[in-house]
Amino acid sequence: MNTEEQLKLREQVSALADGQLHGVAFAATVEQLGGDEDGRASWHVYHLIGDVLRSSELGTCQHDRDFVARLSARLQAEPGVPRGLDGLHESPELIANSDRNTLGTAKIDRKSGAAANDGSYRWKMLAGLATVVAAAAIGWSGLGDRSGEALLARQSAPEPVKVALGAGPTGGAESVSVGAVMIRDPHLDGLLAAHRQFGGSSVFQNPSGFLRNATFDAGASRGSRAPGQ
Amino acid sequence: MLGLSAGPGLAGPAIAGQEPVARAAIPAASAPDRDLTAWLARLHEGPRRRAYAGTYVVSASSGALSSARIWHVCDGSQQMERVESLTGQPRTTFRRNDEVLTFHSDEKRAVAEKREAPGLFPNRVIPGEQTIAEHYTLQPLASERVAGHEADGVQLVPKDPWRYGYRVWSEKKTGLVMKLQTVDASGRVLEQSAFSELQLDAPVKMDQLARMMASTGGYRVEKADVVRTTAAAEGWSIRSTVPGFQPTTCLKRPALAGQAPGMLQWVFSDGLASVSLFVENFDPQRHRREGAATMGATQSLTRRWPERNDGEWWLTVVGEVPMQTLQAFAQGLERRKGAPN
Amino acid sequence: MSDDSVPEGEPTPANSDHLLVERAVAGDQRAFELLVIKYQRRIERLIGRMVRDVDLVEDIAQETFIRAWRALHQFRGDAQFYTWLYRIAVNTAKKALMDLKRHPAAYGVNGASSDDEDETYRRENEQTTEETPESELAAREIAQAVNAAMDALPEDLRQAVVLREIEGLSYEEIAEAMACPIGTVRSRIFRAREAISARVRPMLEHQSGKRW
Repeated sequence: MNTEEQLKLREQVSALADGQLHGVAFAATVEQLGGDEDGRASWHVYHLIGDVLRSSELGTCQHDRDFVARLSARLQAEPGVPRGLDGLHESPELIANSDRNTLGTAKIDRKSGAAANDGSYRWKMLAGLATVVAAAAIGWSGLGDRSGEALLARQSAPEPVKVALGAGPTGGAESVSVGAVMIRDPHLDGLLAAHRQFGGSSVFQNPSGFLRNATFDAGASRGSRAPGQ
Repeated sequence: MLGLSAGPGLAGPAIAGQEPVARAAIPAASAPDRDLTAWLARLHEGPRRRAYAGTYVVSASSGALSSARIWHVCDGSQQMERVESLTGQPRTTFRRNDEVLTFHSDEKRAVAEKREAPGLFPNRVIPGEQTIAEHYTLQPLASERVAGHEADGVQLVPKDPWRYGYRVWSEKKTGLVMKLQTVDASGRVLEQSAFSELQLDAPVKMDQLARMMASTGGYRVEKADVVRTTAAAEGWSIRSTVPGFQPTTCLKRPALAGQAPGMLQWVFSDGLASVSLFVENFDPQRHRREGAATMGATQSLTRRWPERNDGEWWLTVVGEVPMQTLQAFAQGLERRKGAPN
Repeated sequence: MSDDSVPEGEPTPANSDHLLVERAVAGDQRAFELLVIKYQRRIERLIGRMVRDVDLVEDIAQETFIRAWRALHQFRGDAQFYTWLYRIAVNTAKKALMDLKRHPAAYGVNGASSDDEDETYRRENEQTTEETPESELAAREIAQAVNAAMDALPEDLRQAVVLREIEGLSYEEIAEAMACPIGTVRSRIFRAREAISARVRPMLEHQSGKRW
């Protein structure tokens, strides 16, 4: 994880410490913290700072890491408590259901036997969210340059699609390892917003809040903006 | 219709002028066709009748998520909505019919614009209904419980490879769309928008939302200037449109966060999906990278136009359609003879 | 806001405790561990006021969190998590002291005082926890680093973090107090934390190569 992403997670951790994250933002950050050394270290040091500010006595933290490691091992050995996040994986609703002041009785709405047509449901695997920067939610996946032939090949079945593209190679039949590079592109996000404003799939009455993409104003893109912008 | 093949393959799409090759439908239990018109009408009734509040989550197959809290109320003459982002930058969006105001609390900036989407309240006519029937087949799906409510499911299966399919679950009593999935040719879910929790008949008050929307004190209100125009007037036309897609809107936009003025947006729709062509004058300073990108169900294609080293324009095509559809649009774009550069 | 006092009757503090507990109840051990990281020092100091032996303090602290983990489903959301945890800590410590009384030799420590039966156990003027000179020194150094960093902060950042950590105000309240948007509050607090932790992190690095 590069420094920019590290910083973004730290910012989320800071907000998390102050109860500022809810719903999906909360879940995504906690998920990410589960596997992120720097994130957890930040959670530790931010709380240490608070403790020390309130009372210098609480600066003792020599064995904090040991303590937690020891406890973690003991918790793992605890019987009868579900390990891992199976309960959470099956119920995206549970994640987003969390409300600020209601604990609820944590009913895990297990969707046992998802409908047959949910076979290739991807986002259930919230654990995969670890690689997504929690702060910015949605990013564009760059799929290669020039005419999106790479994507074409990925989407197509064996038949190469022959769309006349003028100059350039014909639609490649070779499949591309879709190295979906997540990119930030505020310009593209702006166009997407404009597109949704006048079109999108609005017939389905989706809420207008999603006109503005989450990443619209987050950080610089790579290479698609002129210097000085 | 050609014989059904074993698997959901994607046969070649139509080249302009040729008959589209029908593709195998997504395997589903055989069932009689539903009345599309009745279903579409019910789709629009949902948000008209009730007040509701809930949490709305948009997720892409990449795992990325975006979510917001939503409050919605409609009294027959006015429809209002408040959307608070839960992810990304803190945003609050208010909508009153087609007026939209977005508060950027971190920048103390409020952006006012008009949302012009087909079928939006108070319009009752659903444009493109005919087109939808021509290019999609409605099929039933198993009911599901979504966010604690029983919902009927339908599948809109595209009749050709130029568009994606949809699975829609609507709350049984009100017809409110609870969950919407966009699926590709192989049945893979590209994007899902769904309520993760929903309270029907929530005590959402119109006057309260109106008051919040009017509270722009301390905020710099910006109005997006958008000028309606026609493609012809701007010197553009399209030859051999992709089947089913009709032009719906053409407008000129002013500088979008630092862009040169005079970007053109030309929108096409098949009733469910839409495609926008964005055209700008080519600027070597700003226009550096051509490419394709995908976000959930939305594809985008960016390149110089015409496709030559001296192309004078920069084209970005965006839409909830397969990439080949975007390419077909890019290919079909034409500069009218005699139009100024 | 005193740190380990039972926060009865206080307004809901701005934290994610309830949400983390919710996840922990559903089986997310890592979420529970975030709570452990957060409260471990406070709990240890609380227990340290009741029990003299440093190793025993840590054992009791461990025991406290294990019991909390087992009893999580019993935690009712209408109270503060720390209040609940505090009570478990006190009860666990009391129980340990009772066992000590019965078998003082086995533990090799001084018998507990007659304050045992008193719930509060607050003896502010007496440091009962035997800290090693090294740990005392390290704690002082960290405290010094934090204070130095605070002094070096720009005024708006320092004010934000003071209001949050010492006055215990929520972001909304801080926004009002400082007349700025909540987003700015969030940003200031984050930047303050980063500036301070830049000085503190290196001091923590030398801990055994254990990972978080």
